Amino acid sequence: MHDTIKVALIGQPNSGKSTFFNQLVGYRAHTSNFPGTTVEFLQAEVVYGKNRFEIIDLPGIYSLLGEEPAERVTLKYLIENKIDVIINVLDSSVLSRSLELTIEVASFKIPMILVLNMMDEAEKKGIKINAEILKEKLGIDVVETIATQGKGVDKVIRMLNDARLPKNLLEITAEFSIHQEIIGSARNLKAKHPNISEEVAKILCIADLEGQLGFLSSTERQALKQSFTNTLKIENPWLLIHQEKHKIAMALFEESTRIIHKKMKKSAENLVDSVLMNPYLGPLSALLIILLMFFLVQQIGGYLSTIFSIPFEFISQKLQMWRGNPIGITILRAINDGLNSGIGIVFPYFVPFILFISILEDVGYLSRFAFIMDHLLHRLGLHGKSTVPFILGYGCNVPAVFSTRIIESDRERITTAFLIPFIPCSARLAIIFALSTLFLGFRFAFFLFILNLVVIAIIAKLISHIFKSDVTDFILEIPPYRIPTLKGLFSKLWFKLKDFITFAWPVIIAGSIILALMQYFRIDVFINRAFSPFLKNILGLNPNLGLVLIFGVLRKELALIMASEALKTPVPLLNSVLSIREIATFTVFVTFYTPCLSTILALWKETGLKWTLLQIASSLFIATILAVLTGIAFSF
Amino acid sequence: MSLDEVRIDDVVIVRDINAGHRALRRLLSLGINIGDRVRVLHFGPFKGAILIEDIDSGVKVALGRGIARKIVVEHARHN
Repeated sequence: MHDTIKVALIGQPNSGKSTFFNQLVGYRAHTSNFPGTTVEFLQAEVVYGKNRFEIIDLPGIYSLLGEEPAERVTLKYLIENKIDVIINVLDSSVLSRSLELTIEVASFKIPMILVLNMMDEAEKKGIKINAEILKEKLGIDVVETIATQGKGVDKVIRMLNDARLPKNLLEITAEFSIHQEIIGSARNLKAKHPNISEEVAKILCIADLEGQLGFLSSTERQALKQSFTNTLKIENPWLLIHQEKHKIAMALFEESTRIIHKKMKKSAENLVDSVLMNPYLGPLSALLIILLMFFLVQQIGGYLSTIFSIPFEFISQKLQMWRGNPIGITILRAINDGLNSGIGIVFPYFVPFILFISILEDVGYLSRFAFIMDHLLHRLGLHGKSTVPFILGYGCNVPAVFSTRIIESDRERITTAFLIPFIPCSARLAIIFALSTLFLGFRFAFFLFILNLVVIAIIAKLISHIFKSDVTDFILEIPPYRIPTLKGLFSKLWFKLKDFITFAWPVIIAGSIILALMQYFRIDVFINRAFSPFLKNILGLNPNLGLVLIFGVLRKELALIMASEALKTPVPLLNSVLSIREIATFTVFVTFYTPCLSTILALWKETGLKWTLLQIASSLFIATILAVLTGIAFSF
Repeated sequence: MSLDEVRIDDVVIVRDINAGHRALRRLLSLGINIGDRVRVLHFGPFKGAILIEDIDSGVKVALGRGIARKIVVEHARHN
């Protein structure tokens, strides 16, 4: 067998690159992070025929020379790693723009295969592409594919072994390219990264003039900038490079493509958009879609939850009958409980929830939702892209916090991650629903949701004063509506679930054991005693709930069951030992107070210790205030 | 005139983008180029974002009001 051949997939967002990757490798992929960043890429090893391939799905990017984190890490990856073949996946329906990235990539002189994906969509748009011309002009093999149907994928695989070096089309002809300062900087850069050509080094120097790529030292950058503005009188050399690239791409597009017919009628897409993007009907339909999703998740979740919990409840009952209650049994029961909360509580609600979100995303609705929400979020110092993590938060806060990585700017990313723990996840929703149904009424639950949204808005507004920078401009491509593929949906589901399984679940099980041991060794009595002044005098709650609230941090979904155990009363009869005022206070406090341990760890990982501590402190503070106010409101 | 002042369904030509380098790079790499013909498709609720279609590159892009205000356009000649 030969050595492993390293293949990198590069393409623009929405080009179907990930679908193509799924078709290439199936479910064998695993995620990795680019060193020192939160940007992820997928990786898989596959064997085709006699060769072993390592296939890397780099993040979707519009340009190698941009300053978004994903763009920067992809560029770095290309420069610092030895890649044998690049598969450049293009959305054929927006060919001219897609070719701009191709031209950038081609200048790196790595063997390439061009994949014209979404040929069906291009055809629908009346775009007829002559692949032969592209092949001749670029000097590389060009394959037409429809990745969603798997068409053409095997052809690409067969070509991997003899991918050819692309012709370099991007040459800077502008007069500044022979300027001494730029040649000097380019040579320095090339000395550090011998893989790249001098031409590429020049382009990188110019692209780095604002310091966003981190290739040039600040003195080098200043000198280069000065020579551009003073000697050459060029304000924005980057623009010149872009224009050059754009010109080449347009020429390639025009030579290789014919537009058969221009659509005269409104397309189906525009028709749907005239409802979903309408300033009045848009928000209304968004609300309906979200409500329908929550309703279905509640229905499906409730049904699955009862079924999935059966074996764990059976085991739990058997263990309870054990005489003498030895410590081993206590730990086994705790582990069983922890497993149950994953399989019996989180999976039934969380899996359908992510599945719905993934469908909405793959259909193309989520970016439209971001468009509708942009104004509102903008006023809170956020922007449209925060919507997806927020919605995910209602499922489980942990993957929601991780999903903030899609937001490029630190300001909006940190604010969004900070706000997510305030969103009641499925564990807290279950408590709110249960207590509302039994004692507090539907109106209370509704009021609590509104209150929750208002609190989140106020905190967002407050945080926006911490940051000095302006809100980043909202610029988002709106993809055409597409039919999701099962493979795509399942791979999304799997990667979100993995965050829960590998990150949140072990913490829940560990928390469960700690909790059981505390009760076993009667430490709970001391804790209840220590916290009873706070509970009794400030919140006006039954002091036996102290342990419940403190260790609800470990396992929020158990807060209600624990309350019932601590008070030695079944949940439906809680009103016999707690007043309605106490139940309302408890519900409000549980909704808002400190995020669970898994969320705290996720937040720490994504935003750092300072923000995490601030989040814990502020949520405790807010929960206390609101709980006290609820108590007062219910006293009348 | 700036892009946020254009009426729905009107086709205009992008003349200039007065944005910071970050937003400028983003717009250009998304396929919104100076000289392109652009159609305004929808306005978001409460004077929110704007949805445009770049006729030359075939790309649909949602833009916040702030950035739309920085894009200078003029009406395409009727012919």
